[in-house]
Amino acid sequence: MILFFNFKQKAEIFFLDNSSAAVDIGRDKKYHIILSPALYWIKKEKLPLKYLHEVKKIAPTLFEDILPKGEYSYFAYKEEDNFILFAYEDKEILALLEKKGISPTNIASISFSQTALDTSVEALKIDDERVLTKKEGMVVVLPALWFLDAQALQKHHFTPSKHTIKLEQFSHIIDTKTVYKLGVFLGAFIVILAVEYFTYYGVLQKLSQQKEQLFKQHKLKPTLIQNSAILTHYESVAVRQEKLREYISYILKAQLMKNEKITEIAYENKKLHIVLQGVQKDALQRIFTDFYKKKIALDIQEKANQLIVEVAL
Amino acid sequence: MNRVNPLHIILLLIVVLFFAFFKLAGIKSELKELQQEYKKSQKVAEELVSYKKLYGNRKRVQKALQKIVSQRSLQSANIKLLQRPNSLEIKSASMKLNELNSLISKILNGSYEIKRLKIKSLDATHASIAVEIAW
Repeated sequence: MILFFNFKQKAEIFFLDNSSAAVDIGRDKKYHIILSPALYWIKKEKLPLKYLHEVKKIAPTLFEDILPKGEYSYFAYKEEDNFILFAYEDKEILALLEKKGISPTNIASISFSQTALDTSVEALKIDDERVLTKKEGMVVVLPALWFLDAQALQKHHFTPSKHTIKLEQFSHIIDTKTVYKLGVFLGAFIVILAVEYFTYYGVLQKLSQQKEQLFKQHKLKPTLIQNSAILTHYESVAVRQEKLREYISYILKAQLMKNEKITEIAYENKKLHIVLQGVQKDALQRIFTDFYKKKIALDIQEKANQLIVEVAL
Repeated sequence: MNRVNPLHIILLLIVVLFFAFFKLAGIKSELKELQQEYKKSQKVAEELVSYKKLYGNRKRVQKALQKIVSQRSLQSANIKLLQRPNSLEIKSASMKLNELNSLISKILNGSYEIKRLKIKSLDATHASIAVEIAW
């Protein structure tokens, strides 16, 4: 609480007027900005309305006769039976603040002279030509000539008010309503994308579980790579077994002469051996017609009276 | 005036929107990949199951071969079945050629993985055989 109080105390009063002297301030210094009546328009109205937001809504209509052309913001508060309404140009105030060397980060609050000026003072000199005074409850700027005994305007003549305003920095570039609409649109779009994301995420999780279940269900290895390797092995086994049966059928169809005979058929290590007796090498084309027709390579060896034919599978 | 600028919020929302787009695109492609992988896994699983039934079913192979060798037509062939950890060997030192034909045609027509085979002619009417069937 003490810290908060100290922090509040750090902010200084700065009366913002065209004639105010520029300040050279550090990054951390804070100011309660009091707007000169020259920077806003004020109206005191008795309105048949209950709520402030209703008053703010109709404020542009109430000011339309007196305001020069520009982009205005409106503020209002209730004082007894009346509503005090303000119209001000954010862009103009921001430009003046910049001119005086105050950036938005140096601002603790912004209030109107109407709400911040000490009521006990009759007239306060802004400069040699103008004074700040209260007339019929309204703080106004009048010629200094009318108040010869006016005191010089000091910081202690103001007390930071609870009626503060926030300046719209970009209201001249883009309308606040449009910004909110755009925000709502983008927000809604993000929500749609998020919903879509979580839907996909759910499907992804379900599919991952199904994939795990798939291998478990068939008592297979846990990964696709392992199972693919086993499948490749089985595929090569199937191809080899098919070839073996096909080649044996060729051997069984062999056309042998009376003195020719097959004495041995062996298969091992992916090789098929056929041992023939009484067969000349050049007779092989007649005996194993199918092998030659299908251009299957035969490795032929002659040993003693035997002919050994080897076929790779 | 330490107020959050609405345009900063819009900028933040745009960044979040891009992030959401990026994440969504990522999960979409991840899902696509997973769907393809799942389809592939299904295919692999189906094929593997059928191959296992064909070549990897020890019980089926043993039962079928036992049935073949115990046939009455092969009883005089003195066929022996030798059990190995991953295979089974059918052996006969001497059998008639008609018995050999019957045995070998039954083996060749069945879905077995023949690991080793040796048929040797002994004389004009007899031959020896050794077949190793794996699973």
